[in-house]
Amino acid sequence: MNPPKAVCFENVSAEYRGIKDKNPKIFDGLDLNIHKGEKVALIGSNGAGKSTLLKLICGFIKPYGGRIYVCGEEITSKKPEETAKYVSLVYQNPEEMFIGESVGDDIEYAMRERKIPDYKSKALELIEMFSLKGLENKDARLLSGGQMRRASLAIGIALNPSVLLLDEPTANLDIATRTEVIEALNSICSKTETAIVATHDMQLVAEWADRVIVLHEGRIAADGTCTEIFEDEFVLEKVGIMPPEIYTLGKRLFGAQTLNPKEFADLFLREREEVLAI
Amino acid sequence: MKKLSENILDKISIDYVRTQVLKNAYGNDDTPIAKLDPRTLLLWYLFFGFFPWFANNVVLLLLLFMFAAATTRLAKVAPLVLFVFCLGVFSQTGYLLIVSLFFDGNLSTIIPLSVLTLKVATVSLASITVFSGLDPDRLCAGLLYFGCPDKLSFSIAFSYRILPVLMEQFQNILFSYRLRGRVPEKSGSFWVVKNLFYQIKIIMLSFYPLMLGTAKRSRTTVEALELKGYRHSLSNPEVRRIKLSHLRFSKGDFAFAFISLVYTAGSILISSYIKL
Repeated sequence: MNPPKAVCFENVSAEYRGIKDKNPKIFDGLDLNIHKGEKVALIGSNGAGKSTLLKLICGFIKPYGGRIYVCGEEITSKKPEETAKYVSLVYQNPEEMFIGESVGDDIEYAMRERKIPDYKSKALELIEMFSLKGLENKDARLLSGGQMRRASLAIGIALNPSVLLLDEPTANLDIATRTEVIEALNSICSKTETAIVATHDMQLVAEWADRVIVLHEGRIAADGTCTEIFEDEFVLEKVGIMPPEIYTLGKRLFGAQTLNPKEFADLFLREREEVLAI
Repeated sequence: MKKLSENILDKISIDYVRTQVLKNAYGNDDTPIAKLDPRTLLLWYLFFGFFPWFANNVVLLLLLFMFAAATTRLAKVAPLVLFVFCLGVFSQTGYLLIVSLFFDGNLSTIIPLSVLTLKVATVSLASITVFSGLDPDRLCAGLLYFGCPDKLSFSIAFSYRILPVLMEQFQNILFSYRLRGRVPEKSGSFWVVKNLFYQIKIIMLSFYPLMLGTAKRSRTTVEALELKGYRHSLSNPEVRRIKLSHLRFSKGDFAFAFISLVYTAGSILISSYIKL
């Protein structure tokens, strides 16, 4: 039996305002279910509707048809303030999340506004969790790319949302910082039930997601596990997705599915031992 | 009723305003006005932006207004811009009429007021036509051709270009407040007032992070320009020549200039015979 639904789209149609005469459609009768506990990656080319889907879930955009449910409650025409009790969105550009005077102030903000008891100690806990100790009194806009991203994650989960939405969390980051962010993403699963990431970063998808939804021209082109998607050559070609290099390398060298460097290294060592034994 | 209120709220949303600004800057490239050379449009504007101020004949002003309105129609101007135009013109003269009635005036005030209204409206419509028909790059090229300092023409074009970006950033910051803030409880008789104050408060607060973000963004832009040798290009005549080399007068430009000239001459002639 499937766990309860965290997000449910029923025949949802949405469009965005065009600068020409007609408003282009993004979704036309989209049906989608995301269950509690899932770590979902939304992938697809630019304009496929990934960010729009996130904005529909948190109420920034209203669909012109269909219904949207979050944690069993219909939110189709609800305002973002009302969806905020279930949903939190971490923006692609973390700077747009910094509304306080310091990192600590930003992390505290939502808890303070909602009068959550012991918000100070909870904020400190988040500062520790995201390795932001010593930076809590600094203006968040002056941090490095990785620190800003970690701070935005801390802000995103401050209210322990049931559904955490992340828009391109690893965009414009170097490899070391990206690894840090992926680690942080893995560690926040204890704070939130369901996480949905819109991304182009296939390494993040491979290392983090347990379900991948491929969007193409406003439709779900494929829905499955990482390996199912990376093996589907028709989808890869149609949508223009390239599996991560570690996956392709593992497949070419050993004919195996390696989703992260550790799996690849383990396999490499095992193969080497076998060769040496011969 | 709910649909109507949703529709009105939608029309005053930041997203709507941002789209309208974008539409005005980049969405009208397929109109007959947008196909004209920027120099033609700026010269045309030089006449229609100044001449109405020196004319006092109602018939002449009415005919010029009709011509400016026709060009605005051809430019497919964004509805929001037209709304702001109507609001500005009619509120200005409307309040003057009301004030005159308070001070023992009568409806004969309408005639002198209509002269002022037609002047303002014609000049405003001419401005709208020209600036809707010119995207930031064409505007910059046109100004540069007429000797406007490069820094100024670039600043105008850059401001035009950055405005929708800033609006999007402002919208995201506002959403940040909305997702993390706490709206007043929907109870009690003062809920509407409390909610209004809350909305105004978060709009005002959103400007602070926006300004800091803009300062940082401006620095990045300046650094990018410096890397591309922008400062050196300002003093290099060859750069100016390359920048303006794409400007060409077409048959359409001559036709537009000819029609404008004939129409204006005809209007002056007609107005000298008809008196209101």
